[in-house]
Amino acid sequence: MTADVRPSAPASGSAPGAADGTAPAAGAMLSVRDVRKLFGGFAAVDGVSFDVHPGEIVGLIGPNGAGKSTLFQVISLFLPATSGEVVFMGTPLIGRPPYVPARLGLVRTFQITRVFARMTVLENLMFAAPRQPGEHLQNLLLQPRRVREHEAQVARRAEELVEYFNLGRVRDQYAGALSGGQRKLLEMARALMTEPRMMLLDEPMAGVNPALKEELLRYIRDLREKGMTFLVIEHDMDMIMRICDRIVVMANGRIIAEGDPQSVRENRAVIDAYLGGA
Amino acid sequence: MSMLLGYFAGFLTNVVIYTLFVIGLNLQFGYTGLINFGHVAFLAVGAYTVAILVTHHAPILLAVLAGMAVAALFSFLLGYPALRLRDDYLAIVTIGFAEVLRIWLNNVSFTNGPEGIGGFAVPLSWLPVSHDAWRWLFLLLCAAVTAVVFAAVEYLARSPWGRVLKAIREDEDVAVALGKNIVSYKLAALALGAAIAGLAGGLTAFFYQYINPHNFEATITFEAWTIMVLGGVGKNWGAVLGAVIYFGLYTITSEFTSSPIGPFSTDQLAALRIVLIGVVLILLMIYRPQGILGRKEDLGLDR
Amino acid sequence: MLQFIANGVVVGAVVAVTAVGLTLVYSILKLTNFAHGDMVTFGAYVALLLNLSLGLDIWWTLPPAFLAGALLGVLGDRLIWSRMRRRQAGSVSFIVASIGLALALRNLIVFFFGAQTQHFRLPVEMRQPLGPLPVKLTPDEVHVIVAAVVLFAGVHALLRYTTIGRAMRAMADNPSLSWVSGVDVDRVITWTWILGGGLAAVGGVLYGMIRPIDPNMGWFLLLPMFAAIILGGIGNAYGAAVGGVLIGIIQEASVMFLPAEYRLAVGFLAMIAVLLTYPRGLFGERSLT
Repeated sequence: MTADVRPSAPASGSAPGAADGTAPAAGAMLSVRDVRKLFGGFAAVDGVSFDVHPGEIVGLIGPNGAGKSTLFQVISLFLPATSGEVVFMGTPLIGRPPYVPARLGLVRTFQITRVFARMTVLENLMFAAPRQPGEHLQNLLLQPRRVREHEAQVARRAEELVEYFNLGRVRDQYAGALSGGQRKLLEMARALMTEPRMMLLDEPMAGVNPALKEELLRYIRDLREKGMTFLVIEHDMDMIMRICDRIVVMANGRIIAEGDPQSVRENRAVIDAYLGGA
Repeated sequence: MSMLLGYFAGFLTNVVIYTLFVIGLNLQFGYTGLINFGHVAFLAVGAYTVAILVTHHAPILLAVLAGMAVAALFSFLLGYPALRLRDDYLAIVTIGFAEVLRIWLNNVSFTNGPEGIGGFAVPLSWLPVSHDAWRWLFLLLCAAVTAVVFAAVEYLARSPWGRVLKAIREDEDVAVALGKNIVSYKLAALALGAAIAGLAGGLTAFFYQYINPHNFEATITFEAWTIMVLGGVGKNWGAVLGAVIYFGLYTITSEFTSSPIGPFSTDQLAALRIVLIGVVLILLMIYRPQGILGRKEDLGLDR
Repeated sequence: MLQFIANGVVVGAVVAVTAVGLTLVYSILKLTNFAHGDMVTFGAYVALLLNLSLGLDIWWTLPPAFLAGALLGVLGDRLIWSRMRRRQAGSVSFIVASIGLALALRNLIVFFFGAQTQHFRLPVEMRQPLGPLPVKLTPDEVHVIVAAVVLFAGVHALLRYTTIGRAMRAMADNPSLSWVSGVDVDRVITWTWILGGGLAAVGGVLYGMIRPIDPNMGWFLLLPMFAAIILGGIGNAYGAAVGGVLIGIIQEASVMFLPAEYRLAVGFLAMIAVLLTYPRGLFGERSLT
């Protein structure tokens, strides 16, 4: 777990990586402001506000139907909000296309692991690298050398992540041939390729066996040590209690409690919401 | 003998031009997953642009480039609204576009309507050679053009740009979540494929030396799909192999259908041949959707 | 103006009848069936055969045409679609196979009947315009509208009030749920093809009563059909019917401003316009009801 996950500096050397802890010291990294999402007349998310600060691991929990998945989709811009605003590092997100958050350093994962089955592990990773000159036709035509050089950098960075996540033996295999656990790690590595400052994890522990769960927890903790910020939706209470600094609890589209694991565990409203099946 | 040789040149030219045409389709569908069922429209646009411009004494090279550009422009106008919608809408919109375009070409005056356009200048005509020799030289020209496009598309497919197309085909949502603006890539792939079809259209105009709307019916698109799925989707060598097999069968069967057999007229035999295409497509889809060169693990017909 | 609307309603009635089958197959089997137009053509030629060689009155050809279309649909499923489902083919494979089926069907018709244009043998008085009406309509055209309404009432009753109709709706709503919840999937699929194929064939006969018959007639009807179901919201059977009539009216009304050859183009442009403004159709994407 000593591998350096810092992104290899791009040609310009200017873009700061997730790992060097240079995120703005003051203020929230992600700020959710009075977000509302209506389906027909039904308010799935009904005026939610909370902040995530740099370096935090925040858990988002709640009984089924609480609206946390909908909120997750809204924050990642996969669903349009009915009203409200989401600000990431000073940039308002609502109303922008869904590819924008990743470019700003806010990357999401999917509940059911989704790897590119017919691309190799290395290709999966290299695809996700940001600002690749070779993704533009004019550069392929006019600056093939620059494309080649950058591609070599991207490959090196992908190799680092392959090592970090112990995927070395399968690096040239089709991702479709990987085990469930390897896919989970690949998805995590692929998200890191985008050089994020913050990761949105959608139920990372769903369908994961205990050994893999411990492994994922170690990775999340280690990444946080290196400066990463996390917002995690999770059903697995054990996991949430063990790694989160702060927990936001939703029920019926609203936030009913917020605080450190201990206080949330003892919160009357939370206990009622879970027991009452809200 | 020389007639047979000339015939053979014609066969090979057909194979080469269709290979080019299918390379364009393969870029759109094979790599990116765009269901373009109106590919013939871009062939027609290229052919008509070239025929009209050359008739008005434009330089041949310029006319061909213009044909590619106009084809790309049309695909852009079509893709811009359609690409935001679901996959199968693109299929319906493109098929409709091709039909409407053909009706339009048949009914406006600057294309000469159903009479078509002929008698325009062709490349290499300044060479002091016999007609048969010209056919072989033209074949070489087409082959050279196709080889260049083939190499260029292979280069693109292996580039980071091609990697994005592959990823889009596999899982759009993930590509978006990782920060890629997929609509712009789809538009680019559509336009590039259309430009390649437009180039094939220009060569078609020179090959026939006379074109009319009848040359651009929807069947051409389906022939291209047959060639693509026959050879193997997502593989440019598949386009070559598919075109050789398809036109091999086509030529052999046309030997049989060129004169009436027993009670059956040539029209009936020609119809039977298209029935055969249909049956081959169905059987391929049931038993080997990945085509001859495809492997199950690779990018195939379906995600 | 009124006249064009009347013509549009007649054509639209036919489009509606055929489009309902297309949308049923789409929503229940998740198959975008490009061979649907050629199943329409098939129905017209079955009727033509009975009408010309046996001298059967055209109205008596409707039941056998329905049966033949239903048989064709079920046969297609047994020979092609069920095999592909078993091999878990993807949606694109299905589309390409349906194109193959379209080519094969159309050219089999050319093989047996020739490519020339043909007509039903209809009593002459059926082609005379009806008496004192504000618009010119022949008895045939009125019959076509009536037949379409009756057929549609039948479809509605079947989907609403029969067990199989309810099962079809359930499967359109949520196929994975029906696999587990005891719906007899095979039976639903068979009935979908009976209805879809039968309605296509009957639509073909009706179309042959108002337009000339040739092997391409169904193929050219396919675009208006797609336009109708997109207009009405894919998977929405009632939307498809309304969409069909709308497309018919738009196409016929365009003849006021444009050469008649552009009818098809106008229907297509209307579809694009709807896609741009209401991507989910005028009445929303729903399943059957």
